[in-house]
Amino acid sequence: MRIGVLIFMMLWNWTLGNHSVIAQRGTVLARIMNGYTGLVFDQIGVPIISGNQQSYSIDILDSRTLVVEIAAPARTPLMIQIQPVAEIWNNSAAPSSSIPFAWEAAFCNEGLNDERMARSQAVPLDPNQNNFQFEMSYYQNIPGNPEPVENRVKAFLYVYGRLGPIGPVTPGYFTNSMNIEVWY
Amino acid sequence: MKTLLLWYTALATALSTGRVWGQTTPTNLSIGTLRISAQVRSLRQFYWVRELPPHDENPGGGRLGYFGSETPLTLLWRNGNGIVSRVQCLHPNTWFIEPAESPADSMNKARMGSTIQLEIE
Repeated sequence: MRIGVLIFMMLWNWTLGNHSVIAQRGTVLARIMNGYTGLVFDQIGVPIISGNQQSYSIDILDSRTLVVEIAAPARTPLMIQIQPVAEIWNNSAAPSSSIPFAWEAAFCNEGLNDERMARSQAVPLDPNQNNFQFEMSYYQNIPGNPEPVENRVKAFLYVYGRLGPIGPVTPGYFTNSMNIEVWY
Repeated sequence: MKTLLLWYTALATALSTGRVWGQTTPTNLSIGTLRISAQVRSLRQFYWVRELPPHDENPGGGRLGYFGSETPLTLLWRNGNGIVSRVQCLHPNTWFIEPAESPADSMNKARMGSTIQLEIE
């Protein structure tokens, strides 16, 4: 009986030991790329006017798009969680008024370490979902793709969206915030 | 000996289990908050954009627009003495192209030193 328990425990230990090797692989890094100031819909020459019923879009190729860079060893399982918002608010007005906001996102996990190369190959994500699970790809050894640093391959998340239609709201500064998290 | 081995294995198992459970708990990398913002303007604002031609040879050209309203808008230009020098009707939600002045006009205005005011009627 004791011998049986001993063998079982040794086997259990060996199995857990193997799992721990996989779990210990490398470190995941994620950051918002430099120079980002928020998803700002104001543009010189394109005023957003209360009641004009127009929509204003920021698309993936726009310089105002948010870029999240994720760097992790190949085959690392990751999950991105987006806590979306459906409107932005002017809280200084009484009563406070809102404008509809529809977030959009795209993702590139093609083993490309260059952001511009990755952007052209990003695939749109389903905005009805909040969680996106994937496994980091292997580095793509093609001309122009920077070498991985410390074996970390990069993936890129792009967040942008559409504002409007602009109803007859109280003029002013409208804002809201949306949280983005990466789990590994 | 067998008991010692059993204790060792039990201890190793406990440590491994604790370590792996700790590791398999997903780690969160908080990327941050994405701030979305827009400055919404009122119906009664209009926007004057003056686009300079190359080398400013024909100054004064540009476009004028009034957005968000349903009704036309009349603009009055007054000189320094309060006399209306020009009237311009603007249709809402469209740009009015302001023709560039000839260099000669520009020079004349500069000599006269007149000022132009825009008013919403």
